[in-house]
Amino acid sequence: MNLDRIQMWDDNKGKRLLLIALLMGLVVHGSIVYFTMPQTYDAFVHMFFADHYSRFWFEPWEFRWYTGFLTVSYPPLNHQAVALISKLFPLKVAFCIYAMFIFQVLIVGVYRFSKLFFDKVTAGVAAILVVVLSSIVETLHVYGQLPTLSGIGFLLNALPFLYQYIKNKRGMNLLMALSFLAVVVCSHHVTVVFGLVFFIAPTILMALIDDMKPKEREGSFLAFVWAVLLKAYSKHRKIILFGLVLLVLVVGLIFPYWYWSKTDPINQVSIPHGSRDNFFTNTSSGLVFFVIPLILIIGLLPAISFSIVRKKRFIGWALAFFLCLVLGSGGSTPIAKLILGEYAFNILTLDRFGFWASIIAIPFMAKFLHSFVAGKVRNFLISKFEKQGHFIVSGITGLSYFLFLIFIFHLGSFRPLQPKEIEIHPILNFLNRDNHNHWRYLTLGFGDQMAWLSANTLASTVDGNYHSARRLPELTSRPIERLENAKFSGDDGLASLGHFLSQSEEYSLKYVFSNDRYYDPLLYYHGWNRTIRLENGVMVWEKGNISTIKPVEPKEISPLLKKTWGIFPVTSLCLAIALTLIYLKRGASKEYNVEANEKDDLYPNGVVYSASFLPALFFSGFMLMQLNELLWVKEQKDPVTTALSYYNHLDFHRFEKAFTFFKPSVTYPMDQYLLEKSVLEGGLVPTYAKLDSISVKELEADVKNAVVEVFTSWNTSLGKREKIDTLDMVLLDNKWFIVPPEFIPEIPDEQMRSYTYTLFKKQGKRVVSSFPTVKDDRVKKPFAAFKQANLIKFENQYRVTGEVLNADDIPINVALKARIYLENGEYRDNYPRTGFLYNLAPKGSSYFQIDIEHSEWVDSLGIREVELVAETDVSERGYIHGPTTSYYVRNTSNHSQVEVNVEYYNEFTTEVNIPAVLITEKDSAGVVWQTQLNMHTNAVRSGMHASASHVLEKIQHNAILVDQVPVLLKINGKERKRMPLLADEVANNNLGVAIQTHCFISDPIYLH
Amino acid sequence: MIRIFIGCIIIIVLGCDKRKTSPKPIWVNANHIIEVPKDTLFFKTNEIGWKAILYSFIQPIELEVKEDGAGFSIHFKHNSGVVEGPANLVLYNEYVQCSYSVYLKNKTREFVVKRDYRSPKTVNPDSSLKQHRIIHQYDEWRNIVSLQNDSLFYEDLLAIDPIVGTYRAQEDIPLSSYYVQPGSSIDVPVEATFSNEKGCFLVNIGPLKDAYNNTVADGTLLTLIYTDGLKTYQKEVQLLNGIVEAYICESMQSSLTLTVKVNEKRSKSILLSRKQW
Repeated sequence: MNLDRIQMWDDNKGKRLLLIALLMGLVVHGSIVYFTMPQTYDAFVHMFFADHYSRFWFEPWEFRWYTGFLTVSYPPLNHQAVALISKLFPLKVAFCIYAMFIFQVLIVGVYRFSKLFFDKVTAGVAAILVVVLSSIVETLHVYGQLPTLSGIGFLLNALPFLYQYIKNKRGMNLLMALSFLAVVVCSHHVTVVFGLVFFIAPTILMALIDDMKPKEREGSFLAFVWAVLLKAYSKHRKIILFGLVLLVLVVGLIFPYWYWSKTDPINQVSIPHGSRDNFFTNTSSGLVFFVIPLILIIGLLPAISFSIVRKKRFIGWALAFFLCLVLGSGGSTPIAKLILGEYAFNILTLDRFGFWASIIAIPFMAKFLHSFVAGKVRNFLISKFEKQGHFIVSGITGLSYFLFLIFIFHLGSFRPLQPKEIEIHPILNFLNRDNHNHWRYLTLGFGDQMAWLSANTLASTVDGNYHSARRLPELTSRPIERLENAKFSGDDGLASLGHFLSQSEEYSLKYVFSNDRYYDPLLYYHGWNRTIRLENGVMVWEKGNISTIKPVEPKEISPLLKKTWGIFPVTSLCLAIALTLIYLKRGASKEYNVEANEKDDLYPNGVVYSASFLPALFFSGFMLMQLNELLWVKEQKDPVTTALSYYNHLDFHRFEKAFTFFKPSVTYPMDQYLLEKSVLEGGLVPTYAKLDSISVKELEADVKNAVVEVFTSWNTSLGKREKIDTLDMVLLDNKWFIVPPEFIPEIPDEQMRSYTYTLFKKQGKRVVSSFPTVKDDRVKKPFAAFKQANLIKFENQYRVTGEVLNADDIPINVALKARIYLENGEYRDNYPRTGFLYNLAPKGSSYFQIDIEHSEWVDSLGIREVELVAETDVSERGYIHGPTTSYYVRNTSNHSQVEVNVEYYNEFTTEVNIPAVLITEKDSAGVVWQTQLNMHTNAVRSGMHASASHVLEKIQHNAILVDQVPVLLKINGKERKRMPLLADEVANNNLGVAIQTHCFISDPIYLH
Repeated sequence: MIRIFIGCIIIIVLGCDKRKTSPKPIWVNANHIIEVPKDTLFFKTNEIGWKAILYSFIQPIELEVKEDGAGFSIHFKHNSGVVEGPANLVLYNEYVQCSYSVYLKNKTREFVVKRDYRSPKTVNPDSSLKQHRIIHQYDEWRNIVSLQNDSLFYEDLLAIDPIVGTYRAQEDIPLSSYYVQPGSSIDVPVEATFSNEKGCFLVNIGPLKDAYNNTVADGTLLTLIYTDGLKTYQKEVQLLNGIVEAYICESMQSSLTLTVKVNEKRSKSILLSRKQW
């Protein structure tokens, strides 16, 4: 009687703990998810998909990303559910509401899952653990992976039914298990595939073992395996029935997904992901993908390991847990790659395995924690260290874990994963205005917020944020995540972005919304012009002569499949909810509850000590490390560290902090430092670059003084730039300081500077009408002419060179295209990159060079003719190309090279941010052989001089002017003749080298 | 049993298909030409519940039906004109639908707008001074109105005066304007003096004129190319009101040879040397 009462109390206690967990989940996560969600990686992507279903429920073709893709490439249930809720609430709120629903399902799932292992009180503790477990918190608040949580939540709810079905054979259990698994299938395909191995198989195995007689479990290992096989055979019909129905569900419910993945397989270069790194060498990846999600598991590993290997019924779970843990460690060991194989290793994100390991570990952690707080472990510790000792350990563990959790909630603030929130309404207004949404756009520096922008407009972008669906070769052939954050993908990313910016006509890409000035030089030198800075600070870049979006033939799938895609997933969720209500009304089965076993609470002393103290050690150690990083790092302990720290602060523009590295002096205050900095710096490297690598070499050093050489490599949007600086250092009060370098400024003679600019203003729309300007008030196509056009072949590479003239009286924008017609009738379009002045003042001209892509392939097929096409448009900016430039050319010791020395004198009233010239090689007759852009790394302030030296590799003695291939010229759709070729006297006087200034002036934008 | 069931279904379906027939209304004042919006159309019929729509070749026009004991009359709801032309008058009630082919004509025409379109809108003496003109006129309902010689359009080629300007084809209608732009300069006059005030050479270029003595366009790019024997300097300036004043302050110690280039047109070379001044 007494035992029954205790059992009843425990039953109720378990449920009470579950209720507390549900409430805690709602209060803790519900109150912050709306604020953490914008900082996550994936939330906006899922909202974009939800928006798709909200607009086009039965139409899987989504035209807004990648010039079109099929949404059947991702199981739709979560997106459709959010879409439905979004009919009542704003999309973001709908997402949060559904996220909270899923979180509650997950808590209940863990509770029910834990009851397979231990008593209800432990299950209740496990439910509470869900609320605070770092892996789950990180998945929700840092990654925003709702489908992962949804998949695992419903999977965990299905497992107890599956267990009961295998063990006790009740049709209702099979039905319930399958109904939940149907929801999993429709939620997250990856969870289904790997869930079969890591969750479903161990559950079936445990059910078989539990159904064995005690005697069968106690034999030798081989006898045990044999007994399990016999038991499996005795239940093979049940297992096969379950397997077959599950297979039908997996295939049938999301058949369009499987059909898509079979007929349009993912065939793209692997995108690097931090979860595949070696966490020992790349500690920041280790922190995010292993330490943070699994710190509690690592701390309690002795207790988990002891419990999970202690009983034979857990053998499947032990294998699954350790396998997941090893796979979750990414490239830290070679095991993950060996198990998964090279291909799977490179396409999967491995942090999900760590997440699953943490889910499997929950019941075992709960068991130990319950014992630590109110069980035998507690009693043992009190017997050894008194109550105070236990209290202190509990307090330190609890407090440090609590701080750790707060740290995760604010991880996005400590280590910004995303740019600051961008107000999207000005962009939406811009897109809706004057038919701007008839062209594609591109965002730069938006992070995952680009998906949020997409979710709020019907305008299209060439980019996207769902990598599996993209099929544009320019995106799949390079290891880049998105164009939007191309700078983080190094040279490949910028090459891909450069391709889209230069070949923008192919994609009807007319507008770029830039939230990162890093890309300014790339945009400018690819012929883009700044149009307007929106109220949210985002700069709109525009390219002229771009056609509106051409219709793209959608990839069709059967109308029946479209209907099933729209109906089956939501039906599966409704059915699971309905069946659960029926099941609860009929009285939930208690058969699968495992009786509390007194021995479960017993741990060896070593396990008790380690599992009790390790978490406290880990959490507090972790927090101390974070504090140390923030407060106590000795940045000036030696000359090398001082230089490294100084450049680190410079890179992040923390100039106040950087100034503290200079030797304190009354003659060198901070305003002097900032003044000198502003006078000396600016330009491509100081302003538009990100530090890539740094190495410091100690040239001289004694006790008090040192000289170091700092070699820095900078990533710019136009390639890498390298710099060598020398710093003098001095030791004062055990800290090394940089001695301020002697500053010899160039001072212009004039006190006041004036300059006359002739500016143009395109009148734009002159009638009030909702018709777009381009239809309503067309300005004529300006006149242009080709002075020359040549097909040059150099080292098996073809290029089209020449010179184009603005023959009109207004400034124009010229779009050039070299169309190569092959002998087989095909053609390929090629566009200029940086070797061209895209905007020309009246009667201004520009040399150009268009490199022919895949020249060797083109050569093998034979070129029939080249059509050089120019389209012109009125431009009111970009035609002021730079200040007075002088140059002289010298031969070098290498006879094929010349040294071009360029000096800039800035007579403008504004700074020239990137001084640059187009250097063109000509022969004596005036034929252009090549044109290159050469930049100076630093800006030139008004009234100042700057000089640079560039080496030009001359090619005309090794290259061929291919004159047997005709080069046809077309301007604005009409065939034109080239102008007579004239010798260039200036070039001939300078060893065949001509230059044109091609500078970037950042402000004011009306000049440029 | 199944056969009986199928039979019942067929009977029900056929039963549903039975329609009441109704005679077509008789147009009492039938006329092929309808004057809008004055005309009233009278119809004689025994049936009630008639509605009417007039489908012109570009739009449906709302009509009002007034029924009396002997039939109904049709009136135009709005007191405005229409785009004239063929139309279909459609009458229908619950059981029948019929149509009459008609021609719409406006009762009144209050004012006529004359349009004068010219192409190209922009003329440049460097290429052509001819302009293709097309004239037509239309009323307030956008019906084309015949010109004096009974033709709907008049077209001709205009020889444009090569005087630069913005010409308005129709008074106060900016969109109908056409433009004559200046051509390229035929000569690049240049001279230089030494400015003691600035300590630099002051180069005066211009006035630049085209073949018709028009001042060359504002913003035209001029490149000042000067060399001291070692370095070649390039200074880009833009024309304003046909002239440019530019200062050259480099290399005061040596003399400079200056040429000004506008496209391929070059000025004479002049020597800039402090000794001269």
